[in-house]
Amino acid sequence: MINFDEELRKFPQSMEINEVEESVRNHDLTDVTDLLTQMLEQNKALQNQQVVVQTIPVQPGQ
Amino acid sequence: MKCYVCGGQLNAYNVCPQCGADVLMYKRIISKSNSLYNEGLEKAKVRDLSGAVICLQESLRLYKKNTYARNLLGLVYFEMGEAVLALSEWIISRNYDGGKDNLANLYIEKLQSNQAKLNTINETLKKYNQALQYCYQGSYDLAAIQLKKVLSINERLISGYQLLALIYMETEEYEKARRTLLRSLRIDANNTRTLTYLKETNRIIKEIEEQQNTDGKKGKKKARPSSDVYSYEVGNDVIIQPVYEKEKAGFSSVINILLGILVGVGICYLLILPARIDKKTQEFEQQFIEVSDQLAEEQAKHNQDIISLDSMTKERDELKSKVADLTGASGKVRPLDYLLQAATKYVENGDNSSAVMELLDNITEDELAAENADFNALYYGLKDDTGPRVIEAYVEAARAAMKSSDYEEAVKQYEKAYELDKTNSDILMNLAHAYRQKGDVDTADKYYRQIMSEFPESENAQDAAEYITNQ
Repeated sequence: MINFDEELRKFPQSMEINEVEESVRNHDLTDVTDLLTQMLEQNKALQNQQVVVQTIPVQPGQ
Repeated sequence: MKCYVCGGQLNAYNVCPQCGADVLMYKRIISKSNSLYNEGLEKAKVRDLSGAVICLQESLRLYKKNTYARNLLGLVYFEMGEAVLALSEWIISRNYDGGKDNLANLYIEKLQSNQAKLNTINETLKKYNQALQYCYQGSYDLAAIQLKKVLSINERLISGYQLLALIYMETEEYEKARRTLLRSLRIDANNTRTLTYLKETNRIIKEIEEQQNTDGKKGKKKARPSSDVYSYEVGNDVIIQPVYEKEKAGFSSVINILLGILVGVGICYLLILPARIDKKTQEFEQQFIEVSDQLAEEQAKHNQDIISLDSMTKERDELKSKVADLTGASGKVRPLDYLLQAATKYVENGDNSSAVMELLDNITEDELAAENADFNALYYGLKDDTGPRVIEAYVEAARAAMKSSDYEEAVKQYEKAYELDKTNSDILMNLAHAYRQKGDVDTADKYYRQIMSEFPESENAQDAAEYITNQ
């Protein structure tokens, strides 16, 4: 059986023409390639940190 | 395909020739995105718009710069009646790819060039929102009316069909709901919500039909349509619907029309016509009164004219008579004529005093007063000249008459003489004697007294006193 009230809640308000600008601004344009890029950048950053740690010289007497 | 790191052109290898970045995963993502785009395209071709939307959204989640996928998604949204979503996708597409080959430019231009269409779409979306509000408020009939208006303008609004079908299902108009959902499926063949509603509607309709059949088999009269109503039971509820009977056309409708015309004419005759007749009658009466007043006025004027005509005629006649008198045309002898005749007589024979006096006696004192000074001067001139001689003649004649005992003649002569000279007491005395001799004592006494009163110092007065008989 279909519940009228529940089904009614699934119908959102339709946007009007003057709301197009807001719709475009609020559009989430993050895609997988962006995630991939972020991951690669994070990876690169981690690698650089590791290189820096390895090259720190040991002081005599320590 | 360009490198996602440096933007350099990639080749068949999995490493960027410019920056050396690993592009294997990147290539796979783009490949998958294109694959989903193809799948979405296939679904859109068979009007599975909801399925196409899902595939294209997935494609864009993988690779947002897939221009073809974004343009197609916009197109599918527009076909489903969601103009705002379509416009958003095309604008984003144009931002990512501003080249002239991008179809998004064409779609946006077409939409913006037809402002009237855009406004119409906007209005339908507003009405759709209003219909949704009515549903929340429980005004299902108002919501249905609004949605019908919206769908008559925007025939592709899938959500509009779905909401209208939902309302019909809530108000148990399952056949209408079914028809609405079928119309929706012509646009979007595999819409999950539409198919769900349709399945539910079909199930309920089937239940009702089964119930009716069951009631029919058991002989329940309720299931059979009567002449007026058609009722059936659904669970604990009894639904009663009036039977729709097609109105009979033909001869009866002609009779009905004729009856209607007769009734209309009767109403006009009873209600409208008397009032109009009264009004006309009043107008005529008013006109009659006005005409009568005018006629009376004219009559009065006419009478006045007649009266003035009479008076003018009378005046004219009088004037004519006067003119005639003055000119002698009337035949009447004028005073002037008498005067002229007297003057002629005097001139012809100065001794013919009596004739002159006789003519002058015809002129009365009133006529004398009306004449001018010349007339009077001539009159008195003639009279003064001929008067004494005439008096003397009358006295002689009177004496002669006395002698001959003709007292009647004596009185007459003495009166003529006295008339000409009233200052002569002797004549008056002789007159009185003549009356006394005649036997008219009263008149004689009268004259005696007159002598006594008018000539008291004269001898005649003393003599008169002796002669008075009745003292």
